[in-house]
Amino acid sequence: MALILKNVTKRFDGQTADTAVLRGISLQLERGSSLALTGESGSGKSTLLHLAAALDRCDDGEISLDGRRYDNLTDFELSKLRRKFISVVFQQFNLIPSLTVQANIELHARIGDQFDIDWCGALTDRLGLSTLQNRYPEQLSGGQQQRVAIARALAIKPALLLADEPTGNLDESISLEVIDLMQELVKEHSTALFLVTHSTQIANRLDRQIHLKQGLISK
Amino acid sequence: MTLKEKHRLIWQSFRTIISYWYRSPIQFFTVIFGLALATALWSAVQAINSEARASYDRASAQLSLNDHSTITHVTRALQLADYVVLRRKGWDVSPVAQFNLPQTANISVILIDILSHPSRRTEMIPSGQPSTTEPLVWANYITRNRLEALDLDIKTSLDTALPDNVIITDFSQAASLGLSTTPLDHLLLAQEQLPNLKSIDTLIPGLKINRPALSTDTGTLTESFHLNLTAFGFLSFVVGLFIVHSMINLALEQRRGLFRTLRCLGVPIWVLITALGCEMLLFALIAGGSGIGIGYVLASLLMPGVSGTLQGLYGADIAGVLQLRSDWVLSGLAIAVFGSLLAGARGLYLVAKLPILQSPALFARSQHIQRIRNRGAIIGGVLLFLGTVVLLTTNTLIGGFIFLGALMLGTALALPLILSKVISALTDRAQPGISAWIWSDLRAQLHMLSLPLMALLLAVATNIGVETMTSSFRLTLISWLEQRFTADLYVRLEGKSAPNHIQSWLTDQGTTALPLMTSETVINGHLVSVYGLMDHPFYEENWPLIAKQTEAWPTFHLGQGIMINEQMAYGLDLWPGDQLVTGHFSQPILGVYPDYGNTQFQMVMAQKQLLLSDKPTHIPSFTILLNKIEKPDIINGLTENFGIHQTQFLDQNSLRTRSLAIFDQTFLITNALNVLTLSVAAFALLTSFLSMWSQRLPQIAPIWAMGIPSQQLARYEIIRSLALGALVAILAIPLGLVLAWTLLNVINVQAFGWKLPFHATPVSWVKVTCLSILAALLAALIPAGRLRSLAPSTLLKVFNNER
Repeated sequence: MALILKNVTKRFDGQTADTAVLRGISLQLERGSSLALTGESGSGKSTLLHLAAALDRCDDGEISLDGRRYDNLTDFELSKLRRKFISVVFQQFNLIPSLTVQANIELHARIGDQFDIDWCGALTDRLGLSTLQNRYPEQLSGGQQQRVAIARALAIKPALLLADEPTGNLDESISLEVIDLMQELVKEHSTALFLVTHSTQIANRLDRQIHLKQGLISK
Repeated sequence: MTLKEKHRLIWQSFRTIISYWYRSPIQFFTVIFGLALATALWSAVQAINSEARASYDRASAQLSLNDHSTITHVTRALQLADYVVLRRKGWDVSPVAQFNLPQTANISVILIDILSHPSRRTEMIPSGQPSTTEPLVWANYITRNRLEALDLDIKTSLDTALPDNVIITDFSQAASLGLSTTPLDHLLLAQEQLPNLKSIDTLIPGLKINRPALSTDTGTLTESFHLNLTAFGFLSFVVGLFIVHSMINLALEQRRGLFRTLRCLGVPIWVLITALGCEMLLFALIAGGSGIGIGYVLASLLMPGVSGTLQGLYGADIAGVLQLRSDWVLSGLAIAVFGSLLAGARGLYLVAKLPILQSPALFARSQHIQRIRNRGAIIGGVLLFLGTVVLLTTNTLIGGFIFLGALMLGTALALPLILSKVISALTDRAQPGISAWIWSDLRAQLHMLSLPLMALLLAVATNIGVETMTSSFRLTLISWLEQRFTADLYVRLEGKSAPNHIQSWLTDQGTTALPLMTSETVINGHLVSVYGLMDHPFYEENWPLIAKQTEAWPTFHLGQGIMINEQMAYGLDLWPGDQLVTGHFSQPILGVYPDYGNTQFQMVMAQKQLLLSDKPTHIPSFTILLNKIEKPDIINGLTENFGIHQTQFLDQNSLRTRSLAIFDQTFLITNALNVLTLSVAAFALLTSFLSMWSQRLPQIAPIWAMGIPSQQLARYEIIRSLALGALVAILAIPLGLVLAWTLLNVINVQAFGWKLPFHATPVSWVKVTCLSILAALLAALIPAGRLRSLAPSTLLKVFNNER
C-alpha cells in the first residue's frame, strides 16, 4: 500500500475537536491506482492534500507512504521524502518564472538527484511541450503552464502524485485529455494518484472517489 | 545524504534562486550599485585616511626627529668640533647635517652618523657595524626613480618610510656625493644619558636643547579631521545600506513563491538559507570589488582637496597622490560583506521562518506593518533618550558622535510612523474620490518606501546641518577676520632681519609699528605659543574677546594678567577669573579670544611681562598702522633697506582672501560627501519605485479601468513623489538644525577647540529642500514615464491573473 492515512485530524488556531478542518480521516491508496477527492469549498480538501504531500503535519492520527510514517520524520527527512517520492501539481502551477520551460521540467528531478534526460525528453514530447522548451512561464497560456507543472511532477517518477484542481484553468476537452494522460503515466510507473477536484466528470474517470464534508469522509 | 549530494542540492537551489536575477536586471543592478556605492564612499574615505596617515608616519619616521630632543646654538651654526666636545664629555649625541644634492632642484641629503644615531644605529646595523653589502645611502622608490631619471650614479638602499625627495646617508659618503660635512644642522640627543653630566651650555656657551613638541604630532592634530571624515563615510555607508537592505528584502519578498515551491519540491530550509547566503556573499564580493574601484577613483579626485585642507588647516604635508593599500581595500571588502549580511539578516531570518503553505492575510499583514512602525518609533525614542544622556553626561568627541548617531538613527526609525500619521490625516481631509485614492495609495506604499525615505531624511538633514554649520563658520570667520586683522599692513620677518632697526625705521617714517614678540612654553604637556603684545589701544579696539574680566585690557597692559585662546580655554578648562599656574608662573586669566583655524594652544601677555620671563623670545612679525603714509612707500622702503621680500608683506585683503580660501578648501570634501550622500538617497528612492513597479499594477489597473487615463496616473505618480520629498524635507529641517547645533557646540569644540555662534541660513534650507524635492522628482520620472506608455494589455493582465 502506497499511501495510508489513519484517523487523521487537523486543527487550525481556535478550532476545537468538533470544528477541526479534518476529523479522523482514514484512507488508503495503492500504487498504480487513482483516487479523486471531491467536496465543497472549505471542506478540507486542500488541507488533506497538503498533509498527504508532507507539506504540513497532522495533529492526531498517522500518515505513511510506502511504510514511512510522517510523524516520525524530521523536517529534513520530510524534505527528502518530497524530493524523492512525492510530487504535487498545484492549482496555481507554482512554476519558477525565471526558469525556462525545460529548466522547470527538470528542476524537481535535478533537486531530487533523479534526473533522467531521456525521460524528461519523453515527457516533454508526450505533453506537447517540445516547441515551448525555451520559453518562460509568462509566455505560456494557462493550459501550457499546467502541462509544464505536470511534466515537472512526473519527472521524478514519484511514488505519490498529488494534484490540487489540476485542470481548474483548462477548458473541458483539454482537461479530460490531461487527466487521461496523467492516468496513463501513473499506470505506467506504478504511481499513486491523489487528485482534488470539483468536477464530477473528472472524478468519474479515476479509479475511486471520496467526498469530503465538514472534515469527514461522507462517501 | 552524502557530501556530494548535499553540494549538488545546494548548487541546484542556488542556480534556481539566482535565475531570478536574469529576469530582473534592473533590480540586480540596483542591489549591486547600491552596495557598490555604499562601499565606494566608505572606501574613498578610508583610502584618504590611510594615505594621510601613511604620510604622517613617513614624516615622523624621518630620522625620528619627533622623538628626540635636538641641540642647536642660539647664534651660530654648529660645527663638528662642538659634537666632538660633547661626545668627549660623555653626552650621547649624534650629528645631523642637511644639504641639497648638487645638480638637483629639490632633493635633500640628510647626513647622519649611523654609529651614533639614536634610532638608526639599532634599526639598520644590528651588529653595530655598517653593512658592507648594502649602500649606506637610503631613499624611497620615488626618490630612487628621480635619481635614475636625472642619470645620477648613486646606489641606494630602499627605505619606504622615508619621505619623497629625501636621501639619508652616513657622513662617510658625503664626499662621494660632492657634499661638505659642515656646518651641522643640529645634534640629536639620545633619550638615555649618563648621570651627572655637565650641562651643555656650560661646556659650550650658547648651546640649547630643543625638546620635541609634545602635543603637536601631526597625526594627533589631524585625528579629529579624520574622525569627521570617517563619520561622514560611515553615514554614507549607512545610507547605502538602506538601499541594499531595501533591495535585498524586496528581492526576498518577491521570491517568496519561489522559496515555497522549492520547499515543496523537497529543498530543506538549511539548503535554502545556505544558497541565499552564497548569493549574498557573491553579491557582496562583486559589489565590494566594484565599490573599491569607484572608491579609488573618488578618493583620487578628492585627494588633492584633502591634501590642501590638511596643509591649510594643520600645516600637515600629505601626498596628493593615492596608492592602492591593502588595509583600505580589505576594509572595503569586509564592510561590503558585513553590510550585505547585516542588510539581509532580517530577510534571511524571515525566509527561515517562512511557512511552506501559509500566506498572511491582508489584515494581519497591515497589522504587522503597523506593529513594525510602532516598534521602530519606540526604539527611535529610546535611542534619542540614550543619546541625550550620553551627550549630557560625557564631554568628549566620541560622546558627541554617539549623540549624533542616536539622533539620526532614532529620528529615521520614527519616520515611518510620523509619515503614516501625517498621510492618514491628509487622507481623512481629502475629497472623496480620486484625491482620497491618491493619499490612501501613498499610505499603502509607505511600508515599501520607508527605508529609502529614511535614507533621504538622513541625507537632507545632514545637508542642512552641515550647510548651516559651514555657513555659520564662514560668517563668523569673516566677521572675525574683519575685526581682528584691521591693520594696514603686516610684515613677516625671516632670517637675518633685525627687528629693532626695522621698528626704528618704521617709526621714523611716521607709522606705528607693533612688533609681535613670540616664545613657546609647555603647559600640561601641551606646547603653547606665547605672544607678547605692545601697550597700544589698537589691541583693545580690534582684538575680539568671547569672555573677559572687567577692565581686562588696562589690567593686561599693566602686566597683571594674560589672555588665552578659546582652544586653550576649552582644553585646560580655564576661563576669565581662573589662575594659570605652571611652575613659577602664575597669572590670572583676563580674557578668552577666538582663534579660528588654529589647533594649538596660545596665550598673549604684555610684552614687558614676556621679557621678564626667562624664555627665549624673538619677533617674527610686525603689525603696521600706516597713519596715512602711502603703503607702497613703506613696502619699497622696507624692501630696499632691509631686503624684505614681497611675499613677506600681507595686507588685510590678501589675508582675508587667503584665510577664506583655506576655509573653503577645508570644507571641500565635506560638501562633496554631502552631495554624494544626497545622490545615494535619490538613487535609493528611484530603485524602490522601480522595484515596486510590478506590485503597483494591481492598484493602478482598477483605477485605469474606471476611466483615468495612464497619462493622468503618471502625473499622480509624480505628484505623490513630490509630496513625499517635500514632507521628508520639512521633517529634515528641524533634524538638520539640531545636527548643526551639535556640530557647532559639541563636535567643533571637541575636535577643533572653538565654539561658533549659530547663524540661521534659511536660504540654504530652501536650497536643500528643493534638492530633496528634485531628488524625489528624478526618482519618480522613470516609473511615471513607464506608466504613461503602459500598454492596456499589461494592465489587463492584472485582471486575467486575479483569482
